[in-house]
Amino acid sequence: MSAPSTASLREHLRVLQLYTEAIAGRRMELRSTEELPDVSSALRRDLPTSSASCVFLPAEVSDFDSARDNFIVYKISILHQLGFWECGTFHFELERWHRKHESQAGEGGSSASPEELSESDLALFFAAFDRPELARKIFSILEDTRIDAALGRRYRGVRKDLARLQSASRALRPDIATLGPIQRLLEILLQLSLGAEPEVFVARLEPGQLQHLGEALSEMRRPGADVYTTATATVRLNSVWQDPSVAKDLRVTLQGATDLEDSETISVAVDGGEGDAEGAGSPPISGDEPEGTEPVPYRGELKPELIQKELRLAELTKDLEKLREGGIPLPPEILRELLEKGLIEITGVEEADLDSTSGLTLSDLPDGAKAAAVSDKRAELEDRVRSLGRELEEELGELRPLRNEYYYDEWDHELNAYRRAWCRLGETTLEEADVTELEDARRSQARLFAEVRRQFELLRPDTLRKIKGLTDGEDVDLDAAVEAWSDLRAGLAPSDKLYTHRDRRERNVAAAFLLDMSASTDSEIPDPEEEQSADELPKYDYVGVYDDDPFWTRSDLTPTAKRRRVIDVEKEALLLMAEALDTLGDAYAIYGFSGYGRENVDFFVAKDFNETYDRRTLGRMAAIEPKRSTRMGPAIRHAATKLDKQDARIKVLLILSDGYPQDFDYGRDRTSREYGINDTMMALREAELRGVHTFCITVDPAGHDYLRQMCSERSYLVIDDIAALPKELPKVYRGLTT
Amino acid sequence: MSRPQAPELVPAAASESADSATETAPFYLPIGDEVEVFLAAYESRLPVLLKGPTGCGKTRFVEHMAHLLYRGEEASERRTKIEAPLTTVACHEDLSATDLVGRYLLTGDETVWIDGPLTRAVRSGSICYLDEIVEARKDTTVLIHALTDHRRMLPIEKRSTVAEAHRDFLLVISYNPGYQSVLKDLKPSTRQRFVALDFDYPPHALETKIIAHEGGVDGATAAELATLGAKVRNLREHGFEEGVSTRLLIYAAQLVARGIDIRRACEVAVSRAVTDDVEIQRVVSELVTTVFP
Repeated sequence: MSAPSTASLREHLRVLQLYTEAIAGRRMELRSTEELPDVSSALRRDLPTSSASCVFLPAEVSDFDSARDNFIVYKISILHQLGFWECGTFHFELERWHRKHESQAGEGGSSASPEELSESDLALFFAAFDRPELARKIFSILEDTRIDAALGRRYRGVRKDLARLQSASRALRPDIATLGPIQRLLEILLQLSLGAEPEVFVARLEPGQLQHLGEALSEMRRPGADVYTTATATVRLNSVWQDPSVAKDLRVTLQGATDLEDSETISVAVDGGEGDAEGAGSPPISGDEPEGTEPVPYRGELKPELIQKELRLAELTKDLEKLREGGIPLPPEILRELLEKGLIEITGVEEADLDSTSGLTLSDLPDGAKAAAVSDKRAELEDRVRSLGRELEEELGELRPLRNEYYYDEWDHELNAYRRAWCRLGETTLEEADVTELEDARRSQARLFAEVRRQFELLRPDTLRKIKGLTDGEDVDLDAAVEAWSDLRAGLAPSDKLYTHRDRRERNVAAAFLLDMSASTDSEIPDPEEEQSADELPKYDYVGVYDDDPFWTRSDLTPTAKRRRVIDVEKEALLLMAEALDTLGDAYAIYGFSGYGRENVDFFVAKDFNETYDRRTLGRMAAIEPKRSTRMGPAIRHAATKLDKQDARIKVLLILSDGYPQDFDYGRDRTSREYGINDTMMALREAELRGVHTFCITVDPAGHDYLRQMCSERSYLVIDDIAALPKELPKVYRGLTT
Repeated sequence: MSRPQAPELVPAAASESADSATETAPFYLPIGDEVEVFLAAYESRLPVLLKGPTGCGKTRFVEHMAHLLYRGEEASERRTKIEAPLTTVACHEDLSATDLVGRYLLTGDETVWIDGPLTRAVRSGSICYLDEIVEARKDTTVLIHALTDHRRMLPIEKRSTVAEAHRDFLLVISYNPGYQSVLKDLKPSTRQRFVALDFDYPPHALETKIIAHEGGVDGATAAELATLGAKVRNLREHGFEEGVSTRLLIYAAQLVARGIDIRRACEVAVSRAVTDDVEIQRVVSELVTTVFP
């Protein structure tokens, strides 16, 4: 059990998620590092990191004694991770850096051969060093320093917290004395970057070296510093460390003795260590020494080149899609490339105009050239997308599809208390599916559809009206009063209909349909027609022989093409409602739920309130299919939360299910329904308290037993004949909302 | 049940304001070419529709333009003589055509016709600004239609007359597409009678200037308030569509100028004001403590 002061990500997820998006100004997901894919073994799970669309934070922070302070660690970690975006780390372009720092001849990217293809300029930059890992580490420390300084300037509110966090982080740093020479240098750089006083290291490092480090860091802290400043400083530090004379100094300072000949690496000159300092002539430290330093917890560990690759991949994919759509017009850079390769010729267009090309389309190109050029380009792009995708997958792994996660309390009737943030509910939007079946259903029941629509049209009220000419009402009708007064003066009998009343019977309804997508909805329903034909056709002859063979039980092979399941009827009923509500103008949403266990409650969105009813939503409704268990509580809580955000006078939650709530860990005793029923009852009650009317419809004939316990008498309905559902649902809806 | 007291003698809808503000030049910083467009529209007497979120400066813009056209550089001699250059009517759901056009009222022993704000503007030649027009009752749109095409006239049903619009009269309406429900959308037949100008919250640098000027705080504080505004507006998609208005940021600045601690000022003027959702309030508070020490 964690200490009460521990801040857990789960507890603060929504606030931190919103905070992240507010700072970032775009959709940026917040996830726990526990969700990092397994492949990314290189990324540690106790440190914050980022991908192109995600910030990962450790599941818990317990560095400080107060919960607030631990929460602040989260806040600063987020700011730091987003700082890389705000400060343009990922915008690094090798070419621009070369241009900017032509004087800085030599190392850093220059040796990268043009043939070497990498989609990340930062990766190329690091690769150009003799020891790329070391360069990356120096770069990281410097970049972290730059980001922290920029954060302090931009967000004055966190300056104090940042300083506190830095000094706390300093206290946790390893003892320099125990480190090898490279690590020692990096460690000193890092501690200085955390605001340590240089004096502390005087005994450890030659003053000239210290000065170098100090200069590099103060350059990072300058307001105008950008990622190129960092790159240049990285090169400088790296080369200074490799300079033989400096190395000599280093050796002197560290009292290590070693061979000075090999000046290839920074490790050349120094052999550190307290104990073996005497051992003159000990072999030069090879690349074996780990080049890392222990990262600072709040700064985390970032691989900027991976994010650059992710961004490039997105860019390439977009290009490819454009090209597939016919690529009209071609982006100038692609055109230019095609031109240079001599694949196409353009007459009447100056090459110099190409940059401003916007109106030049493929149709302007000669036919043969067009086809060849485009297919070449497409093939190349596809290649690049594929290889980059593979590369990224190896290094980063595939994240689970984007889904919003929510935590909900669950009621434990045995404890008589809530289990806090007990269920993790993931919300996903359904993938569109084929709509033929749904449309067939609509066609075959055209009359029912039309009838229901007409009924609902009648429900549509006149908009808010003020009724005048009443003998009693909430307000005086000024004009009528004046008229009455003048009548009185003129000696006529005045009318007494002087009042107005506002008729408030306007429709202002928001309704959510929550569909049970548990596995049991897969069960077939008896079709009356089929039963008849069964007598004539002895089609069950082979039953028992091939029953277990999946081939013969495949649904597409069953003689009757229409195998109607519970869920199909439920879908049809929802389709009917969707059409009816569309004519009525009520706001409505269609959700499904299923899941497996308290950590995996699935909540599916077929149509949300703000979406219109169109082919897309229809396709998503068609995608409603039986899944797994029925953990009803969290799904109801989530749907109620969504309803709660709707601005409507009447809010209705209609739950369609086929059985009692159950899940393998819904209560300690799997066979007992009590826990699930009690939790669902609480969830329904919570919804009612929030002003949401709930109504449960079940097709389970045994439903009376538990529904009576879960709901009040007038808020449930047991349908004996499932086929009647499409007829019943509109009736229920009308009753609930008028 | 009848009420003892006689109907109150009110000259017009209480929501109308006299707008003496236009006598002195109101502070307005143009974001784009809205001033030029409005002037051109006014030259041809084209009605103008202002769209934009609450508190982004629509009303201030109209005041600014009214001053410019009736009192400032663009004023003609005729216009300078017009007494009230701008008539603003804040529309609400009970606002009917009668409230805009006028009604009979009792004065002593007789009934007297009193022009409504719209009729007065039409006759005197001022700018009539109907704020949040979609909130008004549907019968008001009939008036607007006759006024906004070539006819430029206002039918006064009660008196069976028609008021010809003064040469300098202009109708300006505003509406906020953000929070209104579909039912309250402007009909195309109405919408298509107006030149539409889109408004949004000003970019950071301009908003800084506006906050500094209106709120009476130094540039650095104003810049930080503008930063806070931008960050809070990033949350627009989450539960509150409007974000935080420039107006609220100015309120916060004004509180600071009166000696309230900046974090506290933001709490009362921003966090608490924008939403009732406790979690979003917390997020906004965290943003406040991020931006301000």
